[in-house]
Amino acid sequence: MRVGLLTEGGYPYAAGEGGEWCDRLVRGLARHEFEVYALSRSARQEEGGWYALPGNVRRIRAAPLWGAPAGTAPVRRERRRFTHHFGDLAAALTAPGDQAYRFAEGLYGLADLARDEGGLASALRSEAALRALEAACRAPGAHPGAYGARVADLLVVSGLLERALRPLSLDWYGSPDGDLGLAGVDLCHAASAGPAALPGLLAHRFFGTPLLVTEYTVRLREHYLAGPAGLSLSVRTLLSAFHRLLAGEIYGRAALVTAGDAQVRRWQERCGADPARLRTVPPGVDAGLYEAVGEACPRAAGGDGGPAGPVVLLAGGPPEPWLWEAFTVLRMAEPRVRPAVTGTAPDAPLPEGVTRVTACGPDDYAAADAVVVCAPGDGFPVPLAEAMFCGRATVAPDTTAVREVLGGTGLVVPPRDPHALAEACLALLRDPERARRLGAAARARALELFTVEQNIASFGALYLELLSRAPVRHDLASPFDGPARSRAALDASAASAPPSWAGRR
Amino acid sequence: MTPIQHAPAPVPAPASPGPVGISGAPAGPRPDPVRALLRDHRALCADAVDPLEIAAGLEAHGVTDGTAAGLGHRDVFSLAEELYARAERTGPPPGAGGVPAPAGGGTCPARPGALGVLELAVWLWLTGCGPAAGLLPAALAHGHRLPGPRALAAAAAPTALALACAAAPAAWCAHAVAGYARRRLADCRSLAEFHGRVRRALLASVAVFLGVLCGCVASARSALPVAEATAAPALAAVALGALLFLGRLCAAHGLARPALAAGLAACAAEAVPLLALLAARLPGCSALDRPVTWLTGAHGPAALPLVACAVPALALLVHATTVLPRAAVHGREDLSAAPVRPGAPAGTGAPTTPSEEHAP
Repeated sequence: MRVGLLTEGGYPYAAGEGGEWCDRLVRGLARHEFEVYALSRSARQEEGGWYALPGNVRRIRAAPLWGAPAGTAPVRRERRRFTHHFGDLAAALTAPGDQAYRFAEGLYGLADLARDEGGLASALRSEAALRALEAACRAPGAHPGAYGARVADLLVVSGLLERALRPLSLDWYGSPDGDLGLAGVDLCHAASAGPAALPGLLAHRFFGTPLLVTEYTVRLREHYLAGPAGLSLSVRTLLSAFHRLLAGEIYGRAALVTAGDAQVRRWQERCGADPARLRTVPPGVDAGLYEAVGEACPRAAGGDGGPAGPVVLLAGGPPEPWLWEAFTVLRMAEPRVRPAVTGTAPDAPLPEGVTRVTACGPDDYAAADAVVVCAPGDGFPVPLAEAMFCGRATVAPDTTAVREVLGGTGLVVPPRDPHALAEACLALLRDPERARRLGAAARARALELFTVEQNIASFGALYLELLSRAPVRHDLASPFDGPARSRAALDASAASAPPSWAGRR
Repeated sequence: MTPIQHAPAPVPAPASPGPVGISGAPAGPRPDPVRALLRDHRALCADAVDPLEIAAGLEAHGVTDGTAAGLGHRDVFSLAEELYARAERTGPPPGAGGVPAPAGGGTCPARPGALGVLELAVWLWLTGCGPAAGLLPAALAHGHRLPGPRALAAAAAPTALALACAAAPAAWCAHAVAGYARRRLADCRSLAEFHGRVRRALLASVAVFLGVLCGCVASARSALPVAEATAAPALAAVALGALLFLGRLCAAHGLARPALAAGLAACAAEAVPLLALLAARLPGCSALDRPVTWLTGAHGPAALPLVACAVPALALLVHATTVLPRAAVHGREDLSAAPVRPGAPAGTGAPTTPSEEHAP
């Protein structure tokens, strides 16, 4: 099968987020061929180099989502068409109520125009686009935030929209010189639901290619939390509406949407993904590193750590103030406890008796009698999974994905409650047998759910599921094109070739 | 958009229950736990443009569905909707629009590249050979002796001096227009208003420059000895100066193509009379020199460069007053904070075969 892997600011660029799982996916599914369609976010990223690519990556096409646009002004007839479609899109950004249909009309109208006439870059930054945006902002019932837009705001919005819509103008959808582009792939797999998935949407529209969207962090949420800074209220209103509507359109059109954890899943459902087409595929953690540690307990003395005292490891980043408080409470109750912390700066002063762990490896987990994992507010808590692979009993404050990762194989305490955390640690330290049982259960659970192999196998199964549901396409090679001939004998070796419905040449 | 800057607020402790009477009925108003949350995240709620932004910010500060359930909501999203509905919006502060960063330099940046070099050549040609373009055809048409290099230089000197004196006012006028347009971008509420104000400013700057230029030409012509003391050579110098000014103004705002076209048209218009006179010497084409003979006879030799420069300058003025007041022209560099890779073909993905460049 030939898979088009669509990324934005990640794989195959080494300097980017989320490249690692794409790399493992491409290497793990060696029987499938991949074409990577990558959008880069900055010059720094492009200069950062690429991952080493395995042999089943057949080609890479890259385009920048930054820098100056290129393109020519549309001729007069196309200008009217552009104004009409862009007007729809702009009106959908500000009008009240559900505007998904209007947004899609405008988006696909622009996509058709770009496919017929070439690039839209200069049209999207032209006076006509500014007028359409202005009309949308001043329309009756428009969002109050957009109403105050000034000319400078309109310019910024049109510039940012031009960047976000750049995938429409690319020559990835088949070109006159016989390059099939995305028409030649069986399946589009987008690594986020932002501009990365736009080529997948267009391939779905033009060629009926099924689209699989995978998110480990929600692109829309990322836009809200880490979008371009210093923008005015009107610009933020219009941009947020654009990203929200785009995410809704992508979730609605995708054949399958996968989420890394329940938080991502809730966002996707909230933004319009059909629960029937949502799957949860936890990210994989390389279990090989922790194989040597296993369930073995390094000290014969068991949980209380022998004469030196038990070790409590704090994993998952620099400790917040309330965690120091929890350690103080813990040491008041059990003075022999030796806390160890990760993620602190090398020159930061540490309280008496606290050891510093610079790079938290399997041995550090194995040496700890209890592991406290304070996961960051969002995303999959990788340190927690690592501790589980090492068979450690864990205590974790209840943040986003902690409950579903632990699933009863560790202790969950209310966040920002030092006394509850200290009590949970004490409970584990005073009952080594229970800690051992919990650790074994955690390791079994991690091995079942959070390995790389499981992650890759899930995607392999999803690919086959999508391909089995996609209609066979005859548009590329009609059976009646050539002269009649007798049917060729079945070739026994054909089974070794990867299955493919599209992209025959 | 900046929940990061927002001070990490502790998860609100449930508001202390109000005084409860013996019968269990609350004596005072019921406590409102959402209000505490609203107070803790006031900046986030006041700045948010939709409920999802509040939800993202709340989650980043550790508010979970469990917290939301404690406040009587199904999930964080529904809690965020209530916060969004109840937040007091502080509308945009006056003058706090997303002012685009002023483009570096701004006035008349000399744009390097083939177009720029060609443009420079055209300007030099027009300045140096403009007066000569009138003298030569006039001499040819009326059978006078051809002027020598000394006479040509003497004819060109006042114009060149006047233009050199007018260079600084031209730069100042262009700078003023560009600065005015940038300031109006930030405070104009509609495109039509912006268009009108910038157009008026543009016309005013052209008028100011023409006034200064007339003064420069008059002074230069009184300071240097001139061959003919009529109005036509002075007007030709003014027309040439106006053409150069408008050309630089257009080119500085990314309209190099029309500016160059006007310059080339002026060059061509100066060359055509000469060619027409030469062609008139061919048998059967003697009528070709009539217009040139009439024009130079009636208005003097300077009429030729006057017409050749005034017509393109007028055309360029019309074009500039139509196109330069557009906001899109002035906002090209608004995203200058982002890195710009010159000459990057954004419209074409660079196809590469990884098997060639990267051995798997």
